[in-house]
Amino acid sequence: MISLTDISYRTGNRMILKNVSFSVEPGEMLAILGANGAGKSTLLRIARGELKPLKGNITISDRPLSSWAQKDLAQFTAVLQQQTILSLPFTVEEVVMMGRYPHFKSNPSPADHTIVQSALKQAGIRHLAKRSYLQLSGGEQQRVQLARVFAQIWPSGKYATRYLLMDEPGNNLDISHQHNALNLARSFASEGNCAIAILHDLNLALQYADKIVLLHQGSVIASGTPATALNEQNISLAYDFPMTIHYHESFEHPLILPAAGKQVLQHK
Amino acid sequence: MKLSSTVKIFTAVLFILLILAFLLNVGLGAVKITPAQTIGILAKKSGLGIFSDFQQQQESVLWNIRLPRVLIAILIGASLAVSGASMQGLFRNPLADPGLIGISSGASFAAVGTIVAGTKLLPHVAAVTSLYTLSVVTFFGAFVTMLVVYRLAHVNGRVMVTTMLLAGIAINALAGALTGFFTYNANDAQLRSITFWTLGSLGGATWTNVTALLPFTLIPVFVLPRLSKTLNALALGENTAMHLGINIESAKRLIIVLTALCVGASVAVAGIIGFVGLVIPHIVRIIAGPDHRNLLPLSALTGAVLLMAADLLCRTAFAPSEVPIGIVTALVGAPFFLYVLIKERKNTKLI
Repeated sequence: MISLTDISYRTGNRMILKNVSFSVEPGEMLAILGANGAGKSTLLRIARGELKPLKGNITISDRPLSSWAQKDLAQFTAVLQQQTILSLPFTVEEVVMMGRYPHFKSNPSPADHTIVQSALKQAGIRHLAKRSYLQLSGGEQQRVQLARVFAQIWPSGKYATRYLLMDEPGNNLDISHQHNALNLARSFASEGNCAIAILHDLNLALQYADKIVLLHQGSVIASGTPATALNEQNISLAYDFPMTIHYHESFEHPLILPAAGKQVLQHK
Repeated sequence: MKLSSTVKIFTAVLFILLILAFLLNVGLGAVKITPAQTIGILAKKSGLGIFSDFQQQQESVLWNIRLPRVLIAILIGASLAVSGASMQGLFRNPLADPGLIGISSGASFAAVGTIVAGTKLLPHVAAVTSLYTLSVVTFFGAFVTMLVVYRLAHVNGRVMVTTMLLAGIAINALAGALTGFFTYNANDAQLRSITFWTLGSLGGATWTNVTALLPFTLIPVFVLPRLSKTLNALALGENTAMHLGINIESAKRLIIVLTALCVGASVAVAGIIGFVGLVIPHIVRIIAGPDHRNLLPLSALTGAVLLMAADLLCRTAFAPSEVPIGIVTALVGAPFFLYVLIKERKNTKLI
């Protein structure tokens, strides 16, 4: 389990996060939602220990985050960034192998090679294995990074619960690859692990997340299961834009759409 | 790691070139020494005196002049190339080089300043301009410059490469102006010695120099490759490298200290030899790929081979006079640097 309690964070005079709390149990996938600048990325960076909060506690697998050595943490916690720019022309295979770096000292074992191949296959990029990362499109690069994070936290039996933190996993991806990425995260969570994703598409959150945290100006304005927490009032407030919720018999979850033109004028 | 066949062939070729360059460097010059004679002399010196098909003069030239000089070329070439490759990895920029960001000129300014100001202020203390004093001074010059550049370029936990390169330009200009000031105030003997520092030369090679240089160059050459995984991961960015469990801060410190150590020591022994650290990692990357596990050791070998070749050119092109080696490396390196700029302009953003 990963839990954050009463997290506040400030840069200069600006409070980025105010008393934010959430926890993710093994088997769960949490979506962090909110408008640009709501503090989502900062929250994710704090959850991974990249930034130190002004106050608040973070525990991961029953221990304070700060008590974990980075080296150990890296064996069961992986982070997918919005975009990863590489400074050298490594091949796709080499980049995915970097995901295995926490698991070997200087030379990868045959098991590491097998895992890299499986991760490439899982992300559907085996055909790109020998290509230079720098020559790929933004979406292809994002799929390589997806393969890399899964290679990093590939099941090994050593740690009961593994953690995947994703900052906009759908960034640069087309619709089918967005769903592939979230399906992978979803099944990863269902295996008894924890997944946290910052999402922009509310419908993806409804479809894949077990629970959500909705941020507005650094505070949590709604949390819980997506279907209950995401009501019209909350999301309209969070995004400062009128939103409407619709039900359709062929979908098991509601659909969230921006309001029609007339309602937008009323809202303003 | 499975070595690709390209890497294997490249390594083999480099070893052959290393031996070839060694034999040419010790053999060519006013006194010719054949490879067989070289082996004979070396065998004699190591107590296996079975061949004696050489003259006393050849033995003395080889042992006292050429061998220390070729060893210094190997040590400096290898360590500058390895530290250049490490810095390019650390700064995530293929343009990083001890010379370009001002470290070499900071080091040589420290040496020149000590030669001129030291003899003015402490005229009776010969130790002021001794090799050991100058080695220590150049090392601190290199170290302080590296720290200043690094601090200037460090904004909000990230190294801003543009700032780093601009800071390098400023430091080069400043060190150049101060070096010029001391040059202007130098006497004839000091001028000769200053030219040596600013243009670089392996001409002063002695066994004392070799032993002084040995630890400062061998430690970087053998320790920096141990950071290969760290440097590879750094290509993904500092945050991602941290997520991969890598202790970036300690790696940074180690790379900065080791680079300053070998740049300082090599400037102390041979003056500024530019472009070796910049160009050689590029050549190796083109042939063997960007993986630092191959890049660092292969850069060391290539650096050794190419600096031996450059020194051979310096000694023999206009014999009996010598061209400063810094001029040769800059003449070859600067056009190559432009070529890399033009090539990379299409592929990636450098700055």
